[in-house]
Amino acid sequence: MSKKTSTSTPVLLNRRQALALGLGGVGTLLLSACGGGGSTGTDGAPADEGSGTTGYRVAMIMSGTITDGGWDQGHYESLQRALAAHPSWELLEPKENTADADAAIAAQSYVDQDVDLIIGNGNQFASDWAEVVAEAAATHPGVHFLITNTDPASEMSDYETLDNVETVLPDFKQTGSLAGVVAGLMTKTGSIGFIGGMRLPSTLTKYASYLAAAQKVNPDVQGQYNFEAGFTDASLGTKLTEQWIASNNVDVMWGDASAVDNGARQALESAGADDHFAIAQPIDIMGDDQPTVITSTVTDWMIGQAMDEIEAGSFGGGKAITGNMSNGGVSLGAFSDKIPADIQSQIEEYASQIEADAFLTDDEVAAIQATL
Amino acid sequence: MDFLTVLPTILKAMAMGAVPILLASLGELFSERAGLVNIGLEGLMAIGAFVGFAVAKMSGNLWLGLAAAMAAGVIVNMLYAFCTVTLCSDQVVTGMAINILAPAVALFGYNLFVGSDPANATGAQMPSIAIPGLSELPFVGGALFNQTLLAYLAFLLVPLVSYFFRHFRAGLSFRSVGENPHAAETLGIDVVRMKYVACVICGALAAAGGAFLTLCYTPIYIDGIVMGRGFIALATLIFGRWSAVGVLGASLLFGFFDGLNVALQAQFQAAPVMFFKMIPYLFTIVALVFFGSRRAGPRASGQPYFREQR
Repeated sequence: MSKKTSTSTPVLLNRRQALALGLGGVGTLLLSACGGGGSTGTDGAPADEGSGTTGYRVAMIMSGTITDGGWDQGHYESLQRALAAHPSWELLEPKENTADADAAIAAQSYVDQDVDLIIGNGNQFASDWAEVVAEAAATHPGVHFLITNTDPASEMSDYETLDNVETVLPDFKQTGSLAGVVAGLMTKTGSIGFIGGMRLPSTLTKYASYLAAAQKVNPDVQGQYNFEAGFTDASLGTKLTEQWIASNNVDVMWGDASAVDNGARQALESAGADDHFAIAQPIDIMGDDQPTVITSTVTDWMIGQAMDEIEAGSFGGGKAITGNMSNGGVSLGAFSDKIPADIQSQIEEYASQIEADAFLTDDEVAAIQATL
Repeated sequence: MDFLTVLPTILKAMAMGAVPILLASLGELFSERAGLVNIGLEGLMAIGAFVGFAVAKMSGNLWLGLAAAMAAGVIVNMLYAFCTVTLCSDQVVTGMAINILAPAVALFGYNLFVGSDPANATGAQMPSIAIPGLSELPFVGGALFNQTLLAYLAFLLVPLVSYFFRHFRAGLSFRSVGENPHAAETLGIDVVRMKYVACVICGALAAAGGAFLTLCYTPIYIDGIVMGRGFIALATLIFGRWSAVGVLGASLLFGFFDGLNVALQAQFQAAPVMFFKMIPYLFTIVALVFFGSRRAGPRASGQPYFREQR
């Protein structure tokens, strides 16, 4: 049968043509969006052309967001404090939600802009940045890298050079001890809980110190823990905490698992915010919108010290900056009214001992860590 | 582990865990009954979770948040509908595109919404309502009969959906469209319109399932909050043999094993956690292998409908 086409028939697209047109339109939009830069793009607007004659530039790369209520927010707030104390430094827009596969590319984009300090929030960047660091040392000697929560000896042994890299390691024993002292004094049931996102050495040290400190002030304290809750499933935090409350009478929780800690706090609130408490970490979130939080263990990531060293020309060599109570790297946040005044005084007394390393011995922590 | 002590908490986790999967699965039931296999549930739930969270936070009204989430789910699923119904593109591929696009859009929207103010990152939570009398039953009362209103509505949907497909002409039309769309067309049923209606319902219910996570479970949105529940909803539909009651049973079973996994993690802390985490997914695989059968589903499901084809 021959096809007849009427000259007055309107031109209609067939399915393939419509699909091609649609895909072409979407592709054009994507290209124009990429060319213009994203919402949290890699291109910041430099204050000067190249690394400033009088100003410095800093960039931060993270796997989460600056408002995650935990890890990356803590880093961002540390950076803001450092910037407040270093007015010659300018912050480029932080690179949020960076997947591991994109970490090297993100860092390289800042290297190409001769950013003075590139901060990676967490030890996952240590394995991702080895090549970027090596190449930057040769081609962009003015670029420095700061990777937090990283032990250079064990996690950067394959780096070609550490001349332009430093890391930050908080004193986890002090962090855990502070939380443990609060938990030991505030628990009425003698049962405390801990949720960690990953089974890292830092997580184990925190929990061991937490339990050891709690048992130091209250020998009857028992601990419940989970080290592999991840960092995103808040409902898991809720369910775990509900289980511990129901079967183990847990009434104080401390966490190291970002959004999962949020879920744990929901469970504590449902059980009764007047007698179920949370110790937040690593930022101070005590407030009316967090009825179960009685205090927080706060970590400062010593970015200010890194900036000082860059300005002085002494940055690098794979040095690990230790954050502790003496230099402000570790501290306790504000106390809730739910902590009685006499207990607050006791906590402050114990905190002094912890700062002087006179509260817990390494053997006491190791004894618990060996059982985990 | 004292099982009787942990049972109420497991049952509560079962009920809470089942609701988002149930809602998404009921939406998929409408979609597959009309012959459309929509594997984009994960993306629809993500967009529902974000929009529900954001609108509820902005307006202070959780139900407005839910309504906005359902509307957003419908809008996103119209993309799927246009591609698969009008353009007759591959349904699986289009669904996967939704799974990539929607969560990315949700994350982008979330970053814009929260900005640099952490106060925007926490929303409000729907309160639980205890049913007098029933909530005082031993072991099961507090766990099953102290839920949010959205959860009760989700469970109420099951008999309504079941009744709809069995006793309403429109329900029969849906089923005939999914079994033999050409025969349905000859009987005067507008097959294309039915498929679009199915996509509207699927988008709305799947997004409601996502909104449950941010309005009832925990009042935060985070990238990846859906945690694979959209794919589990697909499995529960197959395991439930494309019936609303079957879907309810499958959702509750998955929720039970998920609650059991957490109970075991909580009690046996020295044991490798990953073994317990596998339990709900192993159950899903076993259920699909032994009880799942594509032959039980609509015969024309997954096939593009060409009106002019004879």
